[in-house]
This record gives sequence, C-alpha cells and structure tokens, in this order.
Amino acid sequence: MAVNRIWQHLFGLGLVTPVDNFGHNGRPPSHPQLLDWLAHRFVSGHKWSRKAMIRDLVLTRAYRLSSTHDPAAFEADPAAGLVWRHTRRRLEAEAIRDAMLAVSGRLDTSRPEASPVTRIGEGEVGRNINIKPLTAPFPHRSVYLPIVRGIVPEFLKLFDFSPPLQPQAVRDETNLPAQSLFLLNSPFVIQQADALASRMLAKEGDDNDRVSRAYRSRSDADQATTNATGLCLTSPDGTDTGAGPENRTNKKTTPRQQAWSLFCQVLLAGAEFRYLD
Amino acid sequence: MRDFAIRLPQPTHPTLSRRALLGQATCGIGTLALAGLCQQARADHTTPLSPKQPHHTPRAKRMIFLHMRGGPAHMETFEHKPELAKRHGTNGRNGKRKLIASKWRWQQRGESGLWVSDLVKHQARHADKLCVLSGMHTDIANHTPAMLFLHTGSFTFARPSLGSWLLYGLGTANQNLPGFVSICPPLINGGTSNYGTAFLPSVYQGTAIGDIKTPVRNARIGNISNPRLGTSAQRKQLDLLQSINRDLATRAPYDTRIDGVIQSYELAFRMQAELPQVMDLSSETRSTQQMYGIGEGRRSDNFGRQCLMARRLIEAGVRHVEVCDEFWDQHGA
Repeated sequence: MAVNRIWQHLFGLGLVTPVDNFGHNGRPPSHPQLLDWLAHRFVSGHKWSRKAMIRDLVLTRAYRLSSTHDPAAFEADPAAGLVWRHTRRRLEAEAIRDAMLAVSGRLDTSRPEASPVTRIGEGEVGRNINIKPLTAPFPHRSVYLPIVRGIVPEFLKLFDFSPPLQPQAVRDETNLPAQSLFLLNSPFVIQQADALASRMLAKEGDDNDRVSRAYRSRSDADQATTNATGLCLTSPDGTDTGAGPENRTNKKTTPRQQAWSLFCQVLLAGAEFRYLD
Repeated sequence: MRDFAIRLPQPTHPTLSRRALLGQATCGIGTLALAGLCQQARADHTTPLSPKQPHHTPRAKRMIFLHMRGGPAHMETFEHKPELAKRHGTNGRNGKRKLIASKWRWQQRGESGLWVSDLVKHQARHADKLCVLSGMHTDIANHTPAMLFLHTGSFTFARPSLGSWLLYGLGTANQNLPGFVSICPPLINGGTSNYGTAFLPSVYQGTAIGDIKTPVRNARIGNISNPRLGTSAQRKQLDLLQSINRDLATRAPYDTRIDGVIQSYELAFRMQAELPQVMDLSSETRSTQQMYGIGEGRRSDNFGRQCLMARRLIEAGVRHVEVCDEFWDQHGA
C-alpha cells in the first residue's frame, strides 16, 4: 500500500486504484508483479526508507518519459495506466506556492523555529482567538505552514489541500474561478510578481533577452509571439502598459517596473507554471 | 458497469475531464449508490454547474435559507401552552423554581385558527400560509454539533452541506456567479464545513461573503477586485495570459484541463464585474430599502441588507443563498 501511494504521487495514477480502497472494493493492480517487486524492494532493499524508494522511482526511465501525445498509444490506453507516457498533472498547492516564492527570490529555505500557532495564545478558534500570527507573511516552505482545522491557509485551501476533517488519498485537481481571482488579484501573487520583476530588471541585457529568458518556449513561433506580446506589455509607452488613468498603482513604482511586474504575474498565473509536463 | 475509479480518457470535449474528476471524486470512495447518479450526470449535463432537470418540474427553483442562530422561546411565539398559563407562579417539578407563563397575549389567527402570540403579530397575519412543525426533537447537546447537523445532516461524519447537494443535483442558472453563497457565515461552530463539500467535488463549494463578525456593508468576496489595475488594463494582462495558456493548450490538445484553466479565468473576469453589481444595494429604491429595515442606526440594518442582497442574488440566478444572523436568544430576559 505504501508503495502504491508513492507511485501515485510520482506518476499521477496508482498501480491500484482507487488508492484508498485496497481490496475487494478497489480494482486489481495494473502491474501486479511490479507492485510485488516494489513492495519487496521497499521493505528489504530500502529498509522502509521512503526517501530511498522515491529516489529509486524518479531515476527510472518510466518516470522520465515526457507527456507527448501518441495517437496509437492513446487509442489503446487513454488513461496511460500502462505508463506509455508521463501524465501531465498539476502541482500540489504546497509546490505551487514554494515555486512562486523560489522564483521571486523570497523563499526562506531555513527551517522556522516552532509553529506560528505557538504565538496565538489562549482562545477559541473564530471566537476570540488571535489569528494574526496565522495570517502574517510566512516566507518559509509551505510544508511548515500551520494547519489549524477551520483556518487552512488561503493558498492551500484554494489549490485543493486535503481538508483536515477527513482522510483523502488523492487530492482533487480543480479549476475554480476563486483560484483565478487569487492569481489575478491577491496581494501575495502581486508581491511575488513585483519581486520577480525586480530580479529580472536587475539582470543584464535588453528587454528582448529578458522576455526570452523568462519564458523559454519550445518552438520559435511561440517564442516570437511571446516576445511580441510580452514586449508590448513592457513597453515604456504609457498607453501600452496599462499605466494610464485607470492605474491605481503605488506612486513609488515606475511604469516600467509596473509593466514588468504585470508580465511576471502572467508567468506565475499561467497554466504552465503549475502543470507538470 | 463502468468503473469510475480509473481516470477517464481525455477526449476533445472541453469539459469531459471535469466529468472524470467528478467520477473520481464522488465514486472513488467506493459507494456504489452514487455510481448511478454519476452515470446520469455524465449523460445529461455539459459542465458540473449547468442547470439540470430533475425527474419532475419543480415549483421551487431557488432557495434562501435564513439561518438565524438562537431565537425566542417557542412558547412565546408559536407553541401555545394554556396549562403553563394556568400554573403560572406555582413551583416547578423539582420544587426549586417557579413556572412562568408567556409574557405575551395569545390569539387564534386567520381561518385556520392557528394560535400565535402577539410577539410575532406581523407574521401572525399570514397564519393561513404558515406551516408550523411542532414535532422537532433533538439529541444534540451543544451549538457546534447542532450547526453541523443542521447544515450537513451529521455531526459525527464530514458530509456535504445542503447548498452543495443542491448544486450537485440541480446546477445553477447563472454561470457568471457562484451557485451557492453564504452571507456572513460564522467562523466557529463548524465554520467552513457548513458550506463545504466533504466528498463531493469542490466545484460545489459555497462562497462566503464576509463573515458574521463583519457588518455586511464592509463584507467582500476574497480577491474580487484588482488593487492596481482598472478593468481594461486588466483585460490586456488577461489577454496575454490567455494567449500563453492557449499556446500550451495547442501543444497538448488532448489535455482538456488547460481548457479548464482558460475557462476559469474568463469566468473569474466576468464574476469580477457581475458580483459586485449584484451585491450593491444602492440601486434599490428608498421604499424597498425601508421595507427591508435598512437605514442608518436602525437595529435591523445589517440583517436587512443581508436579506436584500440574498434576494438580488437569487434574482440574478444563484441557486442557494444562506443568510447568517446570530444571537437573538432571549437569555436573561
């Protein structure tokens, strides 16, 4: 079972599905000998080390397959249960958040000392409890975010964090407008975009270089489109950047910084940022 | 029987990947009873929230749930107790306290002869349209389990809320607005579980406007407006974002989830425009506002605003709106 869950996390689909119904209510494994072999290896070879097991699996050829479509294979096995390709899947909430902090340069990789919950003091959740420590900025990795039942951090809640009230073997992968609103309007995402823009502007080169570096695309055609539209957005000409009369930005930000921040926000908000190919 | 546990193929229909998620999320726990519903759901609707036709034509199409926590004693409102009136001032069963009759006058009302006290004399005028259920009982001892039980049907297990079930079964009419809204919900006593989805797909989740501690005038839906861009500037940004998303979608034509992302951005953009308009009460006439008890300094102002907002949401096509008020108990009266 343990091995099946590790497999599900890495490959997107368990060898046995559903992952939380091993036995008569579930289905037989797609690769029974592989499952047995992995289980044996986990116990005897890796001595129950999950880290070692994960390392083993990510070094396989199967894990390194791309998600490129193949019509014949798709015809035979559309769900890719037989692993003819890597199934594109969305990152978990924690990974998306960490990735945003990492690219903006604001991720603090040190381990925080104790949970913010220790700073709350006495009180009942929602009634007289002081939730300021829970909503304060937290630049550490998401795995250290405090999970108080009833006050799940916004980022996690929006991106399908498992609800603390019940067990959930496989997280949902939703596309809700609340996520889009968050990515377009939330102070958190805007801050990361600002920081990313500053990083990019600090690097050498012209704007063309910057856009290319920021968004490496597969085809030249895509690159050209992105460059063109990206440059349009970052043009110092006020009418193109949205730095016009409707702009309610902070006066300390120049139109150029704002434009680059808007462009960086687009990169963070795009599907590609959170879908693993 | 079709197995819903395995992820379904990703055909070109833009929303069938959501059906796959619907299947996996609702049937993955192995409850076969839901399998039949899932099957039908797939056959009938185009998106999880599209309106669905039930097995008969309903007369009630939308629901407003006035959830007013607390309340006056039943024997002061609709539960006439003449025996209690007779024994007023005498000792109660344990001999330590005295019995107290209702402080209000009781009369029979309308043609039905329903006994209603003068405390609710305005409601009493509608006696012939009222259905009073005098059979309630409970075995729940406290507030939090009671709230969860009321909203989800269970206080021991995590179960979907009423609004989520309605959305799951009936969808919603206006796709530009959330289908299930909770106005000023409490943070305690179950909190988000009272408008949560438990094992149903999270697309059926309720959207909270503010919370019970915040006056509804100041209540906002999270992240509904951009702090630095006006509408047309934001549309430009969104256009660039969508063109990049579409590039990805073209490279991955069989993965309909990218389409899902594109659609959800468009929906969010429309929601930004439509939702604040629906929540804005200033376009209602003075007389309407007065009828709802809205007015500076009036005690009914906050609740009145919530009710009027609920009506506007329903009129705009929202399927289920819960209005939350609290503490109109008569403790220590």
